[in-house]
Amino acid sequence: MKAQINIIELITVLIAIFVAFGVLFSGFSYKNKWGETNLIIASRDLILTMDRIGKLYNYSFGVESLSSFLDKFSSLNKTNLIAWSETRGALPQYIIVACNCTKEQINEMNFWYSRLKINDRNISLIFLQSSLDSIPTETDVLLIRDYKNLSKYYNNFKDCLSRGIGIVEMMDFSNANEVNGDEVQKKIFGLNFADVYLDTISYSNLTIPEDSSGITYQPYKNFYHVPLPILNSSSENLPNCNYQPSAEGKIRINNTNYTFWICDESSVWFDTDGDGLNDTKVSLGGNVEINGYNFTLSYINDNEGIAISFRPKFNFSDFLSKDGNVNLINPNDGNEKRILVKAIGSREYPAVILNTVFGSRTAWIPNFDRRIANDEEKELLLSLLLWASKKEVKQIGGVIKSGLSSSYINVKNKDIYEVYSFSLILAHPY
Amino acid sequence: MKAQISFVEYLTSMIIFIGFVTFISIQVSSFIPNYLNEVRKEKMRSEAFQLSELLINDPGEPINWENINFDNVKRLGLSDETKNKTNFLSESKIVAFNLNCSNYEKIKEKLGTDYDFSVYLFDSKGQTKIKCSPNTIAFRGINITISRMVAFGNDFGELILEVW
Repeated sequence: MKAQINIIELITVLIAIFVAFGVLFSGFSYKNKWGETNLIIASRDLILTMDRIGKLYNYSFGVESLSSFLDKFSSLNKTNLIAWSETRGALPQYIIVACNCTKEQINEMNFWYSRLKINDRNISLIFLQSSLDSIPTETDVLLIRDYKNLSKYYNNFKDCLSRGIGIVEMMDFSNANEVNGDEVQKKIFGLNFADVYLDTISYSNLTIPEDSSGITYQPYKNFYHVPLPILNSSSENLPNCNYQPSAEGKIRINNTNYTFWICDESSVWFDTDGDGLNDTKVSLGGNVEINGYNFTLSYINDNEGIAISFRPKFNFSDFLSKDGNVNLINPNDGNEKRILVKAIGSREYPAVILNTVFGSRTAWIPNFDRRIANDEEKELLLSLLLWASKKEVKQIGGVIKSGLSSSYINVKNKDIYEVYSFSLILAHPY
Repeated sequence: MKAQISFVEYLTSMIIFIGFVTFISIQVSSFIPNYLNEVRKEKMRSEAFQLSELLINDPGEPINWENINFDNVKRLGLSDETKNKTNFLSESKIVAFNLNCSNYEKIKEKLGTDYDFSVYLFDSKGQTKIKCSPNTIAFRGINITISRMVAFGNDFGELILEVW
């Protein structure tokens, strides 16, 4: 019996030793990282090749062109590599603007900003009719139009801002309580209603930012660089023009209409003095002076419309006063650097006030749409929407979430100076 | 009986001990060839990568070697010295390299490698711009292929380098 116990003990110990050895000596293997290295080298080579042939910008924003470029490399196809790309820091192709607007206002803004093109790429501002209670999750920027008390939306707006969604409000105020009695106006837009004056505004202009880190720098830059699309409204036959009839449209500057006619794919006739007659022919990329202000003809969209860029220094007509009254609304922290536009009357009045709060951007602009909107005001609103919109990573063709990437910093400066990072990610499907 | 049991125990432990030693010896001896093979592969991969870097990112010595007698060329490289950009090849060097491929041994000497290799460059339409390999290909068992994407002129393509 004793011997049997000894043998059982022996077998038990041996099994334990076997298990221990099996764990300790589980077989030798040699691992290397050449597979991963090859992917990194390939993605780096691809980005460099795109850059060397001058197509990096096109491939950064065009999924089809990038895909057809990658298809040309047999080694990628043979190994069934999956590729996708990401861009950071550039304006996305689609900007979702949630707005508590009426259908008419949505249609109006769709007309204002259709065929928007920046740095040779199409940017679509998609206006979504939304309530302020539930803002769509895909929103990039929230636009609030027309006055309403916003106090009850404070937590909702705070949540939006913390998710990177900026807010632009376009509204007039009738009395101090509408600003000073509203938590959103005070804490989110940072406004303080000081007084009301009977005054006449001579002009308004953008305050020149002191440096690029200032809050007003980006919207100021947007205003003077982003081309404003203007669609044609009728047509007329002009002599010596390829397009017969030539599309005719109106640029409305400081409450005066100036007509333009698209002569052909590279030139446009302008009426620069408001008499309704074509007096200046401008080539694509050329400058034109209208009513003493300089503009650049940035794009000609076939026979459908043009896009013009404002050039410094531009003075706005009055869009602040209402019924002869001018509200003095100041930044509630006394920080004058938050004032983007100042209206000049017998004194200075802030006309556009910016703020950064909860990690995102907000802006107040008076409701210039209470009368016929000028093109400079549309450009100003566009500058604010682009500035306040969420800047997030946009994936092109992403199907899986892990891979090896190479990044490259690229710069484009056709209309506006843009620095963005482009990443190409390669991965094996298994 | 007690002594017999002790002997059985002794015998069993001896058998197990020998079994262990044998097991470990077999494992080690079977791993060593694989390990050596992997080391050779590592060396060859490294050589292939260096060769590819030399071809695409070095202009050669002298930098305008395509315009001189090939015998006087010290080192080959395809990078366009006028642009001085990574992954950008000179079209004239591509042509010169391809022309001199008939003398494979000289190319090998000027690339400074002991391994045999083949170099192919295909443009974006799949047409061969460089085809350079020895007349008789005798693989030694290990061969490494590396593909590099490059640009030249207004076109782009793929340089495939195989080393053995």
